[in-house]
Amino acid sequence: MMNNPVRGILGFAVIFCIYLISLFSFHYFSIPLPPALIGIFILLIVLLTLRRVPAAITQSARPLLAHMGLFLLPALISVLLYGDLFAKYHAALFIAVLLSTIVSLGITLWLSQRILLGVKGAVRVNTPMASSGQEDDN
Amino acid sequence: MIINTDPIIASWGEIIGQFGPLWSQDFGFMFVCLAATLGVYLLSRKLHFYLNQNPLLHPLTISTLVIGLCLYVLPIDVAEFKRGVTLFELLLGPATVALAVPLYNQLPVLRQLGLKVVMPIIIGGTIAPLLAWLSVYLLDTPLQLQMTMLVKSITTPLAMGTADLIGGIPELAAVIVILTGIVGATFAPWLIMLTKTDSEYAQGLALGSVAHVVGTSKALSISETCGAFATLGLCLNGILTAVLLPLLFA
Repeated sequence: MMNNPVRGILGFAVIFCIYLISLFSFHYFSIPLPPALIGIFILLIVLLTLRRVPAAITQSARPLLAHMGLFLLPALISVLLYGDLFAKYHAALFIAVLLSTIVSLGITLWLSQRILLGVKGAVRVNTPMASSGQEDDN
Repeated sequence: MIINTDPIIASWGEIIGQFGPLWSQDFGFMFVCLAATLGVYLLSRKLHFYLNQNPLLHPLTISTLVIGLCLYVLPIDVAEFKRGVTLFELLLGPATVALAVPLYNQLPVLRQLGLKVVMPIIIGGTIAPLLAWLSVYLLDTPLQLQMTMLVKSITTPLAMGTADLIGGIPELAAVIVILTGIVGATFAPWLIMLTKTDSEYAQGLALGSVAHVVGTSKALSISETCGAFATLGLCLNGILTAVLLPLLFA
């Protein structure tokens, strides 16, 4: 696909408008969902209606997803403001993050293997976005 | 017909308030903050690729440490710096909305395998937060921290929004989520061997649903197929958790 800056900007404008609509409906209708999730649903409905992903959307979604890490940095840095909370509960946080993640990943792997037994090679997999869009971050 | 415009104006007011810091501050300071953050981010990304993508040296860990150290040494207030980088914070919303694109691309897999892919995602998406919550609950920590733990295995932007709704701390959620992803991706090869999981589908689903995007990039290094299943796990678990938790606790 050709990289066309106008198309990329157009795609971003569409995604940004969807986000604004979801922010507005979050406040106006007091929907108990994270605003960005409302946006995901709106974009998903749009894509399902179109039955394809327009090039403009793909082109702007790719850099946004690949560099999501950059947009997360402000939140990560403001954790300095919660330094004493970390110091006070470091043991609990350590156990919850390290041990529980390892145990639950192990259990999930083991169970998934049993659930998916025998479906090997039966599926045609779409990988346009997964391979180039989300290689990194967040 | 008379329409009451007050709630509409109030809602727009909230949104404009969120974007406010963009024009109500010193542009020079804002520019320096943005450029410095971007520079640190790009450099740590380079370093990460250069060092064979070791999950322990994740770009976000390095960037956070570097910027944190700078803020500690320099006479800049953390809150002030955060105002300076509001632009990046605001772009997180549209970036999260863009997650609908990979989800849409993986829908055929979901249609073909149905429950067989949904079940592992539900299992992973339930066990991980429950175990984490149990450990902080038993260790007697404040409720805020317990609530924050519940969102630990969904993708960061959704985790922050959800934590905010159920009475957790969004910034703390971001840190816990990233650390969870790094732990998951680091121990994944070893756990895969230990549990003898040879199905790429199972590996992908487990990595995506427990270790979100960091796990997904690990899955991509195993294979394209594994990465595609991880993407599905990441998106579905994120959506299910973000829908359910506020219904239960908000």
